Amino acid sequence: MNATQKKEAMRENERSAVKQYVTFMIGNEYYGVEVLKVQEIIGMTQIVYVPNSADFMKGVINLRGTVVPVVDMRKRFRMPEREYDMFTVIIIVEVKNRMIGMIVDSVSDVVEMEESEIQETPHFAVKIETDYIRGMGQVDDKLVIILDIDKILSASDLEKMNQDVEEAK
Amino acid sequence: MPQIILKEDISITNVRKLHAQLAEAIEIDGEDVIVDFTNVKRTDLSVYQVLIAFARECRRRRRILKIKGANPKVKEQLLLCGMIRPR
Amino acid sequence: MAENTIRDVFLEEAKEILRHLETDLIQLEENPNDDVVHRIFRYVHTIKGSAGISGFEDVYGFAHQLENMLDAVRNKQIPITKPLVDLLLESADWIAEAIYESPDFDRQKLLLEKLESYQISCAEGESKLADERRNTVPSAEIRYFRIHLSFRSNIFENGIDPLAIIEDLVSLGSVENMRVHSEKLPPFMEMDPEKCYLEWTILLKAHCPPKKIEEVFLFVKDDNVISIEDVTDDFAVFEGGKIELKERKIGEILVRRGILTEAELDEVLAIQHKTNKKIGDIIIEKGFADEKSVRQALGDQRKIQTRIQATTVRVETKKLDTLLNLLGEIVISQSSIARIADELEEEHGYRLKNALYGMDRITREFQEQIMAIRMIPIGPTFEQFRRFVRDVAVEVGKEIKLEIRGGETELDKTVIEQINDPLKHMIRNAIDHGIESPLERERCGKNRVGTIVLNAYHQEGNVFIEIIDDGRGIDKEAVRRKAIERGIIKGDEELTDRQLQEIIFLPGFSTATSVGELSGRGVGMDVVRTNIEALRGTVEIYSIPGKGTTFRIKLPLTLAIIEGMIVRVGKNVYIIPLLSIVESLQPKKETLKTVEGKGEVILVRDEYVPLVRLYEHFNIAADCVNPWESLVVVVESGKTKIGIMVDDLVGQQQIVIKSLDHFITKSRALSGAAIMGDGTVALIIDVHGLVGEIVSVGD
Repeated sequence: MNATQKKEAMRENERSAVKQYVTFMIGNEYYGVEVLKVQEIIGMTQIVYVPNSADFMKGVINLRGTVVPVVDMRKRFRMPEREYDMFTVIIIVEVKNRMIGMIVDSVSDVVEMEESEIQETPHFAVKIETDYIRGMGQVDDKLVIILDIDKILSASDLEKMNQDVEEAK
Repeated sequence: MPQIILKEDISITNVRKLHAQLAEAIEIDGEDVIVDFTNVKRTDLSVYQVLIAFARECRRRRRILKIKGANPKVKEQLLLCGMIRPR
Repeated sequence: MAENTIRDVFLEEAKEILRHLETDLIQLEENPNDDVVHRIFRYVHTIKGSAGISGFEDVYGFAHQLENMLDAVRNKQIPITKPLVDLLLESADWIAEAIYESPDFDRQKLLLEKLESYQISCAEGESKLADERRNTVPSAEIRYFRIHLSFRSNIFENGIDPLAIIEDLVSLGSVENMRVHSEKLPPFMEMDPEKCYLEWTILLKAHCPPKKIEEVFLFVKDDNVISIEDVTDDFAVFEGGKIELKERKIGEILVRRGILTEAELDEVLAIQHKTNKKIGDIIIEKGFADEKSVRQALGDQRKIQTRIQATTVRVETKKLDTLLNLLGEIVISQSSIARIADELEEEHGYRLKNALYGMDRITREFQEQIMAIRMIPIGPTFEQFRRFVRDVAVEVGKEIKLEIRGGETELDKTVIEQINDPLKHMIRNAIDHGIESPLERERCGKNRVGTIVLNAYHQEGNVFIEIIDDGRGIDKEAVRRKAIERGIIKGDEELTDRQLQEIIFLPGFSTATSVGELSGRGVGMDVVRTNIEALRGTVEIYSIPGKGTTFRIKLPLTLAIIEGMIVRVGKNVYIIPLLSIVESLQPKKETLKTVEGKGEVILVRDEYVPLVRLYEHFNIAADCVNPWESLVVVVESGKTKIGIMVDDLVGQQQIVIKSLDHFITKSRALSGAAIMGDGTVALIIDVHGLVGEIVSVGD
């Protein structure tokens, strides 16, 4: 096999790699996050408000001795807020060695998807910024929007820095 | 006549293997057990220590440990380890 | 034992050795002396040996050549010059690169050529030297040493080859006698080939002083039993020939030691003349001294014996972190128990609380002990910068002297590791923008050589690190101009000097701390501040134009556990560090005043202190809005006092600080979080930060 053929073969391998995703609902859309990044899923618990934080930063919780920040995903995606009910959960994910919790409406199944099944997202197709999305995939008859968790966290960082510069003005 | 030819680099990193090889070698029939130092470039105390113990075991079993191909540096080291006596 | 372990240990230790080597090489340039040269030689020698064992062939070979060179330096055959030190530094760099990255063979070849050319040019000088030596004072006298070596059984694990050490030893002279003790060596089938069972007793005839013998064992004497006995006198006594001379010497020794008086010695010598008995025997017979003293004097024993057990233990910082975490959990559990004690009726509650109080003291001390283990002096970190300063100064064409003070100041190991980058950055700034060029300095009437001082000291439960330069200081006008240019402030804004200086720390304002181009080096002072704040520290600038600039970093001494006052505002619980609290009071209505343009103040004793309505500042709901119905906690940061208004005081306890990720809030008034006994999270108020926020609002 020459070099080009080898490269093709590698790409094939990547494309057909199967990954598992935890799916959950926000609004009436299904979203997914790589299962490897999910630490755990907990029910709604007391969230301590942190002053002077971004509006989607709901506060912090005590997760077995660790203080974990929690983000309200509806607010993050600028969707209308909703009361928390018995289905609301917090998905604890690990991003860049930090833990962060995502408040979502409800959690659904863990599904398997091949890389090749994940399509690029057309701009108009979704309500949230496409920066946060890795792609969309079809599982059974559900359309799952795969989130790029790392980006969502970095965006928060950027957001905060922008606000700093704003303030300095 | 069992013979073990030591590698260029025989030291703490692979002394366990040598120990196993020696253990095997002594089971093979023959009067002498030969350990060949011809290729040895780098070695350390652990090797000589194993050989000292091995030499004792050979004596116990009425075998003779022969060391072959020792260059001057190795000879010096054998001296320092008490395996050979100065002339 | 996997090959990995030896390699890992080598990688760890090589790092340390290379660091020391660098420091000493710089010292060599500034202050050459025999000790430094010798240390350098030993470092290279050790790396050579360990590299060899760990499989780093190229490093072994290179170090070997380097060692030869250093030997020549050691023997004064090669003079110590700046080019030589440069070459040595380059060589050390090459070794580091070869170990931690990959060896650059082209550079190696170049360096080896340079090393060789040094030796050749000096060899020509050498034959002259050898001739000189032969004609001068005779060489040192012959000494005999009885040396006993017992290495610890796991010595191979550290990449040390006892045989190499012995080879070193015998190279100092000739072996008169040697015995290898193999009693501890188990039968072949039972032995562990990776353990060391052998011991040596060597009688060495040498031309060197005992110190040289000791030096062979420099790196192993701590963990192994090494005994070196100077038996020269013994030997001479037994040898015949020079007996008389030797024996008189013995007598002199005894007199010197106060064992004999001069008169007694004379008597002994007289008898010896007549009877030809050994002096030692005569002395004992005559009862002038006991046998023990005589034997001791005879042997002139200089035993260097150390315990078998190591007096130090290497501990992974991870293990210490775990210990600290566990301790933190204990503290939290304690507070849960204290809560329960509160609920009990008096008699039992009282006894339980008493018991807890005792336990509290123990945990506190426990914590201090663990923290003490993690504390290491900042000296080595500072020293590391010498090389950096030297190189950068050369790069930018400036002459700079680095002064280090307070190197013995101790900080937590993690803090030291994380403070390295910010320090480097600030030093770089001082060199780039602070210190002027030698010409400019002369024009200003300053010394050509600029000075940067690194200073560290403890004060009030904090560690202060200062970077002081005597450069041009911060030009506030230039800062203002650049800030307007970058859109950080508006052109007509009035700002205090302090505020102008603080602008340097804003993101978007890159490394221009004074006049000079924005160097565009990417990382700005805002990152430096963020890094320091991550350690719960603060950094401030003080500057006088024309005179210099000082960066002062303040870091908390106790990282993780502090005493806190728990307060409540509405449904929220906050913690105020006890250290910052001056007093708490329920103010009277009359003591509250509003000052034009400054906000509310409250009279505390005889001064007016600004009132901070915490619920307002944090935008949360509170039970009381009237200060005379709530509680005011007066806190202090530096010289500034403020009164924090809260609903209630909940209690006081030890708390374990958990850090808050930076992106959670931009409030400077919060320094972390803590988990209470009932599991709720309480945010910890950073008094310094809160004061800062209040002040900027007020202005």
